[in-house]
Amino acid sequence: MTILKDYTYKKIFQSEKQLPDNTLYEYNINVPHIFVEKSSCSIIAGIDKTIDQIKSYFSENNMEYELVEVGSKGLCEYDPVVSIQVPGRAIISLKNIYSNIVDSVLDSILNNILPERELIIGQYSHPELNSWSEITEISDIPFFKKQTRRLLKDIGNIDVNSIKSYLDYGGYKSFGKILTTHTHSEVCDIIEQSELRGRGGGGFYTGLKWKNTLNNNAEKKYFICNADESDPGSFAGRMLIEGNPHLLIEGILIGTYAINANEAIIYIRNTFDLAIKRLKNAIKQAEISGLAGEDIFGSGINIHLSVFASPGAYVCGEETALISSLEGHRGMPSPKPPYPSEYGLFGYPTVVNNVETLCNIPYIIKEGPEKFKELGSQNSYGTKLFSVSGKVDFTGMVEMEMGQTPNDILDITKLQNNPGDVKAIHIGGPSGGFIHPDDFNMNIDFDTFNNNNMWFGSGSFLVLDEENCIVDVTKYYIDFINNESCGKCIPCREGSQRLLEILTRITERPRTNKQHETLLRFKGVTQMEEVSKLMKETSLCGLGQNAPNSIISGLKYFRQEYEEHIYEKRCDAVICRNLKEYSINVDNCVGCSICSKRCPSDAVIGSQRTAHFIIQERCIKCGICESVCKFNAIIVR
Amino acid sequence: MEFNIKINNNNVKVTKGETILSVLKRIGIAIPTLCNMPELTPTGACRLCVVELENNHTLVTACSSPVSEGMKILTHSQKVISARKTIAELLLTNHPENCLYCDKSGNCELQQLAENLNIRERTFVGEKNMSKSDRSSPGIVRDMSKCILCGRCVRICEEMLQISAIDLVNRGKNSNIETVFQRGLFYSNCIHCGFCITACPTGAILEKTNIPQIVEKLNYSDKSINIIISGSTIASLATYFNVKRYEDARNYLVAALHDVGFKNVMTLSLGNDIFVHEISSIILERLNNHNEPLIISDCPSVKKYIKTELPEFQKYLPKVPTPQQILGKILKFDNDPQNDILVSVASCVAHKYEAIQSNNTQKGVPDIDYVITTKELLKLLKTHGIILPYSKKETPDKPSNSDSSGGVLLETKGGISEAIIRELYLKSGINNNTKKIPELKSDKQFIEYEFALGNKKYTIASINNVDTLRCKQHEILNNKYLFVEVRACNFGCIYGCGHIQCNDVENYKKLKKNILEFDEKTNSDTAGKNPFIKGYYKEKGIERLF
Amino acid sequence: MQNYIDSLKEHIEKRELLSILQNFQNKFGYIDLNFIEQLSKRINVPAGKIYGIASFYNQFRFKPKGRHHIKICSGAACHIKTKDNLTSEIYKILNLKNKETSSDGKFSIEFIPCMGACALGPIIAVNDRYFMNVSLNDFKIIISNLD
Repeated sequence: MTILKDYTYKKIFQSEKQLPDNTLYEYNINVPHIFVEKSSCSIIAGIDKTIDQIKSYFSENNMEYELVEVGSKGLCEYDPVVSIQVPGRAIISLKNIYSNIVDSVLDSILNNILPERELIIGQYSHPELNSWSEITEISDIPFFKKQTRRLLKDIGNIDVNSIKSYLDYGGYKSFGKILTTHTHSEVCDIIEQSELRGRGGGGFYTGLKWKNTLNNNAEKKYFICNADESDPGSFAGRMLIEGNPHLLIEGILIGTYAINANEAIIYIRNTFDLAIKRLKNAIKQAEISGLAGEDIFGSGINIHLSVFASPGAYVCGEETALISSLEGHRGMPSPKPPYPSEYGLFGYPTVVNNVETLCNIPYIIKEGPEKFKELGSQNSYGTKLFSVSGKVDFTGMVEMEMGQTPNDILDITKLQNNPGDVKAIHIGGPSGGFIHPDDFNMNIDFDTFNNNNMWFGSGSFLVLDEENCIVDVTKYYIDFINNESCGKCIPCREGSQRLLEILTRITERPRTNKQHETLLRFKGVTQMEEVSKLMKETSLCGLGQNAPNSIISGLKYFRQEYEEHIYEKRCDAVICRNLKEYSINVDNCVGCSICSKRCPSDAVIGSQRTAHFIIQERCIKCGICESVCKFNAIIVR
Repeated sequence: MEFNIKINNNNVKVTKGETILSVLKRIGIAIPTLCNMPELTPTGACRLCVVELENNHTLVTACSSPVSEGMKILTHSQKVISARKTIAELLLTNHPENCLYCDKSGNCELQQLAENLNIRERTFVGEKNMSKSDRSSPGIVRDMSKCILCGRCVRICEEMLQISAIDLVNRGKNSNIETVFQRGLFYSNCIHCGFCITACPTGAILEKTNIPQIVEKLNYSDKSINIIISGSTIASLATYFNVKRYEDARNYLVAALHDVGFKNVMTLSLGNDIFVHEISSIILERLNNHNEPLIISDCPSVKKYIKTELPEFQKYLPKVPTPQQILGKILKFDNDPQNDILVSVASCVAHKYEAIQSNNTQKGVPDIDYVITTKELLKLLKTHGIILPYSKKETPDKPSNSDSSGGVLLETKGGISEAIIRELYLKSGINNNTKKIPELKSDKQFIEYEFALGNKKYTIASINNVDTLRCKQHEILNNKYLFVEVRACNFGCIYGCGHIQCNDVENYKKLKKNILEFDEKTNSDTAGKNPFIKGYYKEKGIERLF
Repeated sequence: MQNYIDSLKEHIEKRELLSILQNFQNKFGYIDLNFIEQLSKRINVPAGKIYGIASFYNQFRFKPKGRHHIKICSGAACHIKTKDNLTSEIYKILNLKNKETSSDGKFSIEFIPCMGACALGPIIAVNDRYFMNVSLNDFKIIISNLD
């Protein structure tokens, strides 16, 4: 215990040497080092089996080795990713290492032979080590090269289970610095000067929030980190924690010190098993190292860290709802004012910050606010993480300078960015909206987005192509809101229900062709606009106010698609299948039974050589019968 | 701190900390509210009280926003009105449109809202909430399809009573107000006080009506159907029909009910008198050695509350039934129980719950067959075209023709204590019985009162609202009081949920005045002077019945 | 269950309610009425209130899980990659009738907002074993291998 404390003390206060950026571990090793990128994504891809196989490989061959668990560098497409360092040679990074190829890959690498080219991502060269010939540098790969990796810098290099590793890369230096040389309000000043804005969506100035809380006198204050990232399709915060838990903890420690609080709580989804495990482990290590707990390094400062595994509700991302949930109530938002900075958790002044925001703090303290502001655009400085998913070649987490454009992100994540093959981008999750290709050169920063009534929120970036239907994606998000609304205020609860019904109505074939039903479908668009306006103006919290963004932007840019659905009952992406009805023309059907055999849902019945029949209740509208019929017997309506 | 703000372009002086809504109320600008109740914390749920603030792109709720300097408020701009209208339309879309058959019709806040906002056509079409209704309680029906989730019932049950028999459950489109595991009120810790009925703005929570059964009996049964009316019911109807004097209203009502078809019309004050007589005998017995607390209540809700929430208090409750059940037992089982049907008109739905309890039946025959509330009685009167003043007056039938005014007083707040103290004076032979005790009639929920009996001084306490009982339980256990009077309703039975305009404090004050005036001018003002009681106990040769 | 309640420490603050419920569910699989009533007496919070709080959150179940528990990622990326009305078909295949658990207790279903593997969607986990890029046919095969 004392050893770790001494180590920490030396690293932080006595400027011991630190590892250069973009290296994996020490270069001078005696046994093979295997770095496995274990993240929530790679677990699903099967990294655990890969690890087991690696372990048994070495034990069967009676060889010494070192296995280091690191976080994902963000290229989820390549999972499971394993990097290998043989003594004397540069580290080589390999992709898609499933357990069945572990043995052959290790066999060749340990014998200094490269495995198949398809498995290689790249290498990390080092002046003291022999590079592999004809292998690209990891930092030269376009996916990484075009990013500005400030928060993600060390992810993939740091051993996630070891505080030593974080310290080796210069970790906790910022916290050590403020602890010895800065007062509470000086820290707030620095953050205020950096003009850092909340990355959770609202974009409130973090320094200002802290200062307000610091200036509210109370016997107790709370610092809360909101890690309840539950936008569907947003995983950046979770991957940050998984890849570098100590970075977040350092940010929290600085923030807690800045507002002069003694208690910090990390509010995180219970389903984020790996992130919770790593966070808890990191907190324990920080406590053992003397970085958290009572009287931190003799400063007289006490900071207690705890993790709260939230039972899960999207609305708890809203700070008042989060606080209510922490108090043990239903997580329902309450009206503001009073703001949490005056009256927060248990009535005490409270700061709530998002994971990504806090991970920026150590950098700002270390390098100073001016350096932080070197990146970014007017009023939006620094970088922003995006969780890119959908129709791209590289699904994953990217870090971009503020003020870059959707085109820049597509450039990184698509192999060939042909204009036109992306139909739209949905940015910002359920609270966000669509961007039309015409606007792909629009700057992603707070001002531009605010002026355009847009919201990039926690940075989910969903790429859609011609096979996706705007109405369907909108319906998906509204359905999400309808389920996740807390149910308290009428505009959000009833409004989202009506919006969902209207959307469902226009994506389905009307049951009858009666005038009344047709009229309802036609009226849908105007009603959606009316309800959207109401929700924006009168909802209690941000969830309801931003919920109609998908509809508003969809109607603005893709109105034609809505009209096709409503008037022509046509969905070009063939997603809204319920617009169609399949039946068999008995005159044309010869009873060849091909459709019956190919039908995935057994909806076509009939005996050989007699006309077949489609059972509508079973039909899933896949269209296979139409494509296989050689006699034009399938009628599509 | 005072400063000026602008409301609809007029300067208004306000104090820091006030909400916009309270300022608007003060200066007489009406805006619609739905989830707001003055006694409860504002939640900002219904969003109907939104107003427009200059330089603010969203609208803010007046109920929850405090005023701040430099505010410029528009309360009825086009933007605000259309927002309110759309909200109301959304609510109506998810509401069964069967107002004609709804008990709340004419008295419904949602209906009023739709009228005020001039909603005269269906805008949206969509699925309606088809939640099942909870009919498990004998007194309360919750028809959740009519619920607009304003949360008033939840908050009143939680904040005023700390019972939370019902709470919001689930989330989003599945939000609902339910008891634990949807089991129904009867199986929950509900005390059937009916506060939620008074809180509900729509017809989602109503009392369970017994009128159809009574009408059927009146039409087809050859048994004699008798009715007991409580003092608060008489006062309530007197106020409703603007009859000045209590005794006039009572006598009109007796005559009217005879004409409706009830054979004997009796008043509950006889039961009250017997209750007071019994209790005061118990107190006298233990006057010199009251080493245990004594809790006196004629309120079934309090009894249920003690049973479920404070079971250690149960032994301090004397075994005397409530006045309604006392009357039931005496009137029915002194004669042949099969011959009579006994209907009681009560001030709240808790009495409906009480009447079906097994200890209130004998050999499967209930003491009281049906309990209806004042509201229900009014409906019965209306169907018979009866308005007060009625064409004739009749006095109540035997044996309740000689009730004391002390018995009527029991319906008011602090009335039990006052009636008992009078009786104690009488029984101790102290000629102090005309003394009125105004201290007990204040609107506070906890009152301590000290009085002298002989040369000794005694303290009693009067508690209203069960949560006050919970808060004061340690004082009670300290055995400080000769007895403690407890009732669930904040202002006694005259504030019960069964009354017409039950949640109106002004109305309650009228009822109180009506009864106090009656008590003021009557001489036979304590139970012991009631000739029936004297005779009854002598005839039976006993001191106490229970 | 009684043991669990007895094992709770003497003084419990209301803020600990959620973690007590979580621990109970981890141990017993779901939260039942009996437990809520016992807990209500123990910590002096009305049973109705506890139920109201628990039902707000995704995590808590009030019915036992099926023998086979199926988790489906309902993230946006999985949604746009899902074909053939997969989710509604799953309900039909498992005979769930829009409920969480099938009436024979064989299957239960749970939706996870995002499992964090958007590259590999649609993702389905059966008894905590993950399946990637699942199509309707894949799912039928997975299910047919379960007893």
